[in-house]
This record gives sequence, structure tokens and C-alpha cells, in this order.
Amino acid sequence: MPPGEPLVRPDWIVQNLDIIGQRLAEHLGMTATAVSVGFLISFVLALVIRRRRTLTAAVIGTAGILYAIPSLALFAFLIPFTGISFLTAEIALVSYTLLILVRNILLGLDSVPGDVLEAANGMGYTSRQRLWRVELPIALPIIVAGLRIATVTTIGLVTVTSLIGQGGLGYLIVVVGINGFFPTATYVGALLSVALAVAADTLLLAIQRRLTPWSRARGATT
Amino acid sequence: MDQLTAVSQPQPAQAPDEVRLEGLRKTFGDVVAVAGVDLEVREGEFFSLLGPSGCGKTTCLRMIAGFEEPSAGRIVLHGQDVAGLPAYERDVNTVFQDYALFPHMTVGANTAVVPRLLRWPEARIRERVDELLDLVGLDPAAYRDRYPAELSGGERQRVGVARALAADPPVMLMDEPFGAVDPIRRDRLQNEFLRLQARVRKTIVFVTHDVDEAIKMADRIAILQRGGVLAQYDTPDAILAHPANEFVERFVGADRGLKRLSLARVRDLELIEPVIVQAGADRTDASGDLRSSSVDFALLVDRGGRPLGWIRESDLDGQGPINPEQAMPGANLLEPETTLRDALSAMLASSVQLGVVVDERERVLGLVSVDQISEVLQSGLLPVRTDAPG
Repeated sequence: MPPGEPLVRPDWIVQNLDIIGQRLAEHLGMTATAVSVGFLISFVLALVIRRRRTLTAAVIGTAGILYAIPSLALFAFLIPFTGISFLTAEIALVSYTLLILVRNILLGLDSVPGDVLEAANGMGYTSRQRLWRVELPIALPIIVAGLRIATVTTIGLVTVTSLIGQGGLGYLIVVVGINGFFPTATYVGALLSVALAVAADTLLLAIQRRLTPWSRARGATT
Repeated sequence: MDQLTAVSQPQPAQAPDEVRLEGLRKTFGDVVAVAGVDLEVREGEFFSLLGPSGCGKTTCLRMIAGFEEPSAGRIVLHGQDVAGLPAYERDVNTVFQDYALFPHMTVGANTAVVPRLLRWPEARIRERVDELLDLVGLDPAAYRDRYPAELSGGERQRVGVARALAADPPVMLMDEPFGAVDPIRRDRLQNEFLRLQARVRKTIVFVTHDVDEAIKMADRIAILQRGGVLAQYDTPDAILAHPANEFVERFVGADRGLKRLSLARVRDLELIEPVIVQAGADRTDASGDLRSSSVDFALLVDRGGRPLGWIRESDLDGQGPINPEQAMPGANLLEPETTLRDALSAMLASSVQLGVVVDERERVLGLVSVDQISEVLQSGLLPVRTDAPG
């Protein structure tokens, strides 16, 4: 840090609001893309596992290994194939969501009581109707809990992708702030990243509460 | 057959079999859960599968419902062999032990599941839901939009019944339907359900491990013993009077004599003519009446004919009007609907072992004695199995 450089320079923030906003939007976009794609893949994987339980160990094991690979190493593996690109960043981000999402979707679906499933069968739901009208609604709180963890984790990880030229707010933190010896940018990026995580988490929780009024309906008389 | 003739000849004994099990057997690996059960359930009958845990009663019910495939034997529902038929095509509906309501649906939506799947028009569904909630004793306006988590155990049970009745299945299968409620509420729910059954007249097969519940509710009972063996299959009274084997005898309990008494009611006995006296009446007249009667006490009543107490023969010695102060208070008032068990217990607890049977305005209809009830126990079967129980 150059001597005499203050920790925060409000004038820089005011002058660069457009760049900050742009990076925030990029951060949000990368997160949304990763979580959405991750969710779709996880959903399909979970349904496949439900059909063939023997695949559980293989799928969860693979997702666990992906989750354990350090992000820098994963970039290094991917760059020969997909270059220093948005795609490389997203592949890494998506692979980190799989473990949490597959596990929670399975947990959610397994939380549906057996006699509720039998009641649904006995009443004549087809297996597709049963999935969409009974199992998924009942599983929703647990699935959304997984989505919240995946989203918050991804928002943190996006900053690391600044090392391969992406990064959203990570660009401010690493490239401008650390590499450029300019602490103001690091603070702005970090604070916004945290704020984004809190906001996304709160929003998802609010959506879940809205969709599952029954899960808060308590106060039975017996 | 001519429909009018069918209606004008209500002969339950000849009603067609609604559910017939032929050599029904189920094994899980080496374990025999149900060992070849044969039985028939008649149309409109309240039939109980009774037995200790692990006797295969629930497995039987699950096979009838279509949730479990028999290892051998046949299930015939309404004349049709249902082998391989999925649960929802079986014209039966199940009320589960803990009701298995859909937690994410309101009471109204839970009740409407089957009508919705059958694509009834929305207006008719709404009408049917309200009608059903009403039928099970839940005010539609208050309950329609509530979620199962907001209900008590008893309320959930009713929603479970309403949901099972929605598509008007001829046969209802119930797995310990009153098991998840506390004893006091259970008794009320049972009575309510009996009244409901008197209105809807479904064929009901219900599983229970509770002897008293089966006796109270069922027209006929099949008792299963460990290993899924059918031990006895008869009316509650016949089972209590003549247990088929040692297992049944032990299972129904040492107090089976007393239990039988809850099957018959005071109105089934021939009432004893009482000697009725009023305060101020002449002693000699009363004394003469009492001597020529089979009872030892005269019943003192007020001007409206309501019982006040008992007068001993010795209190009638001498002359002059009867002194109401001499009466022994505490006449046991019984109603024609009182079970013999309750009547006996009331009579044994008081000094004069007679019960006064009164109508709803407390006017005396006649007397019953402890001796009469003990005669009932010693004779073969009970006087009558009363019409609609409860």
C-alpha cells in the first residue's frame, strides 16, 4: 500500500459507482447461472438415484470429490480444455453446488412419510402427479435450505474466479484492490459480496415461506 | 333382480360378500405374516380384524387395499378378483393409522384430492367437500382452509375419514383409526363414527389390537394370532361366550363375562314390575302389594312419578300414611340404552341392588335386578344383539 493512501476513499466510490454496479450485476449473474444449472443437474441426478438407489454412493461420492478439489486446481485442470473463460469459471462453480443440492433434494424427497405416499397411490395419483403435487411440495423446505447454502457458498466462490479474468466483485477485491494496492476497492467488493449473500439468503427464505404456508402452520390444540 | 324387491327385503345375513379372502397368505422371506386366511365380509358390515401386534392383521388390510401383493390366495372385492389391480382401482379407500393427510394441503384440498383426480367440476367439488366436512362434524367454514398441522389428533382423524369418503367407495379400510387419540377422545370419536356409519352404511374392515374397541364397534370380528393364523371369526358375543381356543380366551381377557355385558342393554331385559308408593299413601295397602310381589322394596316416587328412594317392608308395619323420611335414598336410575355392564356396576355399588329404569322424563318404566344380569351371563347367548350399536 503506498504510504499516505487512506483505507477508504469515498470520492473513488462515488466516481466509480457505474463500475461497481456493473461488477455487482456480473457477480449476481454468475451466481444465478451456477446455482440454476447446478440445481437442474442435481434435480435430474436425484430423480435418477430415486429410481436406482444403488447409484447413490457413486453420485454422492463423485460430487463429494468435486467439492473437495481446491478451486485453483480445478481451474488449472479446466484451462487446457475451456481456456480462461466464463465457461471455465461456471463449470467450477456448478460443480461445487452439486454435493449440497443433490443431498438436500434427496433428503427432502425422502422426508415424505411412507403412508402419505401410499395414500397418494391409493387415491390414484400417477407417479408423475405424485412427484409434482405431493413429494416436491412437501420436500420444498429442505430443498430450499440446500439452495440457500449453495447460493451463499457460490457468492463467496465467484470472487475467486477473478484469477481467471472473471470474478464479479472479486475483480474489485483482487485485481483493483490487492494487485493495485488500493484497499478501498477490496473493502467495497468484500462488503458488497457479503451484502449480496445476506440478501440472496433472505430472499430465498422469504420465497420458501411464501410457497409453504403450511410448514409454519403450528399451534395444534392437542 | 327387481330393485324394489331388493330394497324391501333387508336381510343382512344374506347380503352379498363385499370382501372375500380365500387362502390369503403372505410371507416376507422365511417369515409367515399371514398364514392362509379365509373370511367373508358382508355388505354394510362393520368388520374388525383383531389381534396382538405381529399377528398379520395390518398386512391383511394392506393386501386388501392393494399396497401389498399376496404370496398366495385370492382377494375378491364385490365379486371381482383384484389380483394385480392397483390400489386406486379397487373401489376401496383407506384411512391410515396416523391419517396420512397431505401436510401441504388445506383440509378442503385434502378432502378434494380424489374428486379432483376424477376431474369433477370445481363447483361440485366444493359442494362435496362442505358436505363431507359437515358429515364428520367439522364446520366447513372454520376448517376448510386450515392445514393439518393446525388440527388436533381427533380433527385430523375426521379429515382422514372425510377424505376416504370423498369418492363414496363402497368399502372403507381403516388401520387402527382411533389409535392416535387419547382414551377420552377415542371414546367420543368411536361413538361419533358409529353414528356416522349408521348414516353412510359402508362396508368397513378395521384393524385394531384393542379388544374393547372391536367389541364395541364391530358386527363381526376375526381374531388373528401370531403367525397370521385365523383363530376365530364370529360375532363379538359368540367370541366372548365361546372362545375357540386358549389363545382367544387369554386375548379377550379374564373379564370376558363382563365384556359381554357391554354388548347388551337394559332394554333387552324383561323389566320387573315395581311396587310404587307415593308419600302419604296408606301403609297397609303398600305392605300387601309388596308381600305379593317378587321384590323386597317398594319404590317411593314423587307426585310426578319420579323415583325418590326405597321403602323397606319393615317400615310399612303398623298403620297410617307412609313417611317419606323413612325412605332409603339413592335409587339407581338406568336408561333403556344403559349397557348391562354399567347397570351392574351401578347396582353393585349401592345398598339396594335394584336398578330403576326410567324414560327421558324420569318416569319409572320398571326394575332390573343383579340376579337377572347374572342369569344372562349363565345362559347361552345374550338376549339380542342390539340394532345400531352406540
